[in-house]
Amino acid sequence: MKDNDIRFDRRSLIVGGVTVFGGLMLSGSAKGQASKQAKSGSGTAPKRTLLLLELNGGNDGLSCVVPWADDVYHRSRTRTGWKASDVLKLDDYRGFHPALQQLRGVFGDGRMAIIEGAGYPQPNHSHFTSQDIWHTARAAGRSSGDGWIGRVLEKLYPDDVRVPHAVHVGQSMPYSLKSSTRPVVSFDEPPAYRWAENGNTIAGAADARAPMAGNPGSAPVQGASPLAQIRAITRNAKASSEEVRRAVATYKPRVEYGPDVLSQDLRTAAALLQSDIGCRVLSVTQQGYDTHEDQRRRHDKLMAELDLGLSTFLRDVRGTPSGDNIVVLAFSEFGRRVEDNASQGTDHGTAGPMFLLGSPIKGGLYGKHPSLTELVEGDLIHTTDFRSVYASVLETWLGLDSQPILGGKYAPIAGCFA
Amino acid sequence: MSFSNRSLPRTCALSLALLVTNGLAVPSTAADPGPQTAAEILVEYVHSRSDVRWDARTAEHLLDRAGFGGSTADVAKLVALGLDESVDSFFPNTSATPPPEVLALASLHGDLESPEERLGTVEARRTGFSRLQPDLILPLNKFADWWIERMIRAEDPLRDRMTLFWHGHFVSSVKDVGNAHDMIRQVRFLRDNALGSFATLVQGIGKDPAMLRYLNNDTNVKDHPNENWARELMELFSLGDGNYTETDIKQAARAFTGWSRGPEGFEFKRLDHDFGQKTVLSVSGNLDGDQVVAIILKQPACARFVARKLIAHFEGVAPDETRVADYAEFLRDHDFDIGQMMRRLLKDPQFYREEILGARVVPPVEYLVKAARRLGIDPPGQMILNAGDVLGQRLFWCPSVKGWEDGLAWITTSSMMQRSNMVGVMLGIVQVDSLLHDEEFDPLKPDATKKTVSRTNGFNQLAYIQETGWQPSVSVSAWVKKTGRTSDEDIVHAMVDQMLGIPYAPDIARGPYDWLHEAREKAQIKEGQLTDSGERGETILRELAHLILSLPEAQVE
Repeated sequence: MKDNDIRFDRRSLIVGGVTVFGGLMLSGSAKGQASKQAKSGSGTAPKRTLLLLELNGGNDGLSCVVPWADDVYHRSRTRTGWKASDVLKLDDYRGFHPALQQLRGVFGDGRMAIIEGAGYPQPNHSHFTSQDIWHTARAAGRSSGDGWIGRVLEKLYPDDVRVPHAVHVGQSMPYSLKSSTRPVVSFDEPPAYRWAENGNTIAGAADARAPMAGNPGSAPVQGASPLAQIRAITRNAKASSEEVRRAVATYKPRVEYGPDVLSQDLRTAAALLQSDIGCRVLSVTQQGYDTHEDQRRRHDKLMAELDLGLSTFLRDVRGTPSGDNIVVLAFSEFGRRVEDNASQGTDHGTAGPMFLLGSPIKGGLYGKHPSLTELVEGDLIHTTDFRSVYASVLETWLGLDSQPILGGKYAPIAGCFA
Repeated sequence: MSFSNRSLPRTCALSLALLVTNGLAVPSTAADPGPQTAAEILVEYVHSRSDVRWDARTAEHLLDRAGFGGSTADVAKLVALGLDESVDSFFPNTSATPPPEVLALASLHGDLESPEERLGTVEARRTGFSRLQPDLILPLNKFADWWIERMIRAEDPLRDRMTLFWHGHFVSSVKDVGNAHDMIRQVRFLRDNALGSFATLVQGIGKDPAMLRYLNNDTNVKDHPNENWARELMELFSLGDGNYTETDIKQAARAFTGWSRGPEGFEFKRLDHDFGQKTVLSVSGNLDGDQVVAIILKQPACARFVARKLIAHFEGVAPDETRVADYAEFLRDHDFDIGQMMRRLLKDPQFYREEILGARVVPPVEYLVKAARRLGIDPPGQMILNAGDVLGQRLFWCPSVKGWEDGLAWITTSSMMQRSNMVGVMLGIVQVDSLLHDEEFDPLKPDATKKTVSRTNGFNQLAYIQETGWQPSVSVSAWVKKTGRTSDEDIVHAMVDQMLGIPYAPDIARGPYDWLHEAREKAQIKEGQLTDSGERGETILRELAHLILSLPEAQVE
């Protein structure tokens, strides 16, 4: 690639006050500037970061935080329910799934907040519509625009469109990270996050477009053609490949992670957190929660992986500057129907628990457990709008005005941050 | 008809357009193939293509969107045929070529593979396939060899494009089905009916053994029904969210109780069925599953849902509601005949409008098949199956019941790299083993083995194919020689033309030209001598092809 290409690219990042989506060519002087910027982003006082953990498919809240003292629970869950004696009791009403042993410890240490009955009005039972609502924080879903994290990036970095501050680890990137103006990185297999051949030429050729006469500017993404967006993504791929691989390959975790996908993705997330490449939002997904049948076997396995993965991650990062400045937010698109079905499973439901974890969290129970007797068509009625939890994270943790990001005023959950 | 479109005077077309708007014209129908009057022929002309400019660009657009693309020569053939005949050529008179039944059946019992192949599987297992089940993987690899190689040869390209579409619409995944035989049977069913009636598809898929398993209807019984199938049937397969209520789902689930599977396939289990009164979408009665499907097909939302999704997939841009309504009406008037709708769509001037040319992101399997066709290589189908997995489109193994998401969702920082790498694998340039091990940041210790195992099945399978010594049989030099191009600039021009689904433009060629110039000079080959420089020249030309197919411009059509 040629130096003047790079200069052009950088100069063209802000055109007439409109920010555009441009990558950064990490070579020569540009590279020095990038790492300086990243350092000032984490430097001596680490920036506060957020890890989004999506429990994809509809986590059965009633099997996760079990209302063991409620007779209605035992009558409704004759096939999938837990005996009172098996649950890990949190108080005289609810207890954790038996597999959540390590997390029971985290809760006991006061670093895990459970927000019960989280949901939204007019609950939608479609995985995809409901996920869109959680990802955009809006009833209208994708038609309302970018994901809520995409909007966060715009507020956190009004002038910086070069460094990918949000990274998804895993196969398919959730829509919450969707940004039409900020670069986002997504990968599944860190060592293979590169062009095996011709990498510099490909990114260079993608960049060669920018300075051509009649094709001014880098790629403005909002409303831009797919091709312009693909060029911008290609530049971001080039800009992030080396940093991501170095961060993951050289990472020495303090504890050993499990072999399953969730644990390994969390290990990668820890590596990115501890590097100084400027990540502010990390995203990881645990798949498989759509337990219409054979729930006990399937959900039990997911709970065990969740317990192992999350507790390992928290142990690994705790006590480090970055690790004491990360908050984990775990959620699922819906809970499941109160009464189980004859396939030893549960169908799509509504409200469920959300979790906040980490050193900055003041642990405990928040919100209100939904009633098992006042139901709408067999479903729980939510007691806390999930956007109140988002608002807490935005206002208390990231120091942002939540209203423009969430498209409405939602009262933060009082007291869930230490 | 032998009427040449381009010979028609424009004024004539305009006056006939007036006739049409005055409602005087009688459109010809497929049921009436008798002799047409000149006026009728002209009316058809005005209807279908008065504003389609039929040239290399629009012909390639059709070739890419209705099929699996092709070479510059394939485009020229379509240009000569004209729009009408070009579109008709995608509808061969033969019915679907039967897939290899024997393969599908034999695989189930594991008696097709030779002892060596079995051993190969065990070996593959030992070297890192422990998470995988050869009984699932092997038959699917073999079926992919049959299916994808047909795509590469483009024997019945529209049928296979439609099969891919239905495979991503009526989703089942072998991960949950747990049995390759049933998955193959499902894809065969979709392929046989790919251009038939949507009603046949939706009626059949509810009784398809793989679907019965995937959405758990085989355990849906009258006492505490399982709603999974009833919900996805309405939400994702036929009506779309917002066109039914939660009560409709609960009631429909009752109607489908007892639809199960036995050794021979679909089985109705009487004792599990709820014979009581139900009300689904305002229709009441002792409804069974077939009746619920019939009620769904009568909903205006159903035809709209199918029309919208098909147009969006093939045009690459969401259609406006007027057009959706128009095509929905057409579908309802034609017994949901998908073939007729597709023929109408491909002849619709709107299909060739500027807005959609070059605006579609090519999905992974199509991207790989199209690349193979343009390179003139014939990789084993399972190579593309597994490369598709790396790129996020693992056939038979769709990650969610919603199917693969079209458009820019296919493109991430990671997928841009892997698209390039997978074409590199097909060209014999990229070795998967070295890709999985990052020497730059994680150098191997001297005594360590190089074998790295990936969590992505596709990577492992590709590494295995490469281990067997597979090499592409391709000569880019021979192809370039045949074009008669010799200068760097002309070679790049010809190759960009051949490799991309969008027209040649000088700014696209700039990067590849700079690279070629430098690489040729470095190899000390004189300009004009590349095709006469043996292996050195061939290597450079293959790398050039690889570079061109890795460009952002190669991801759209």
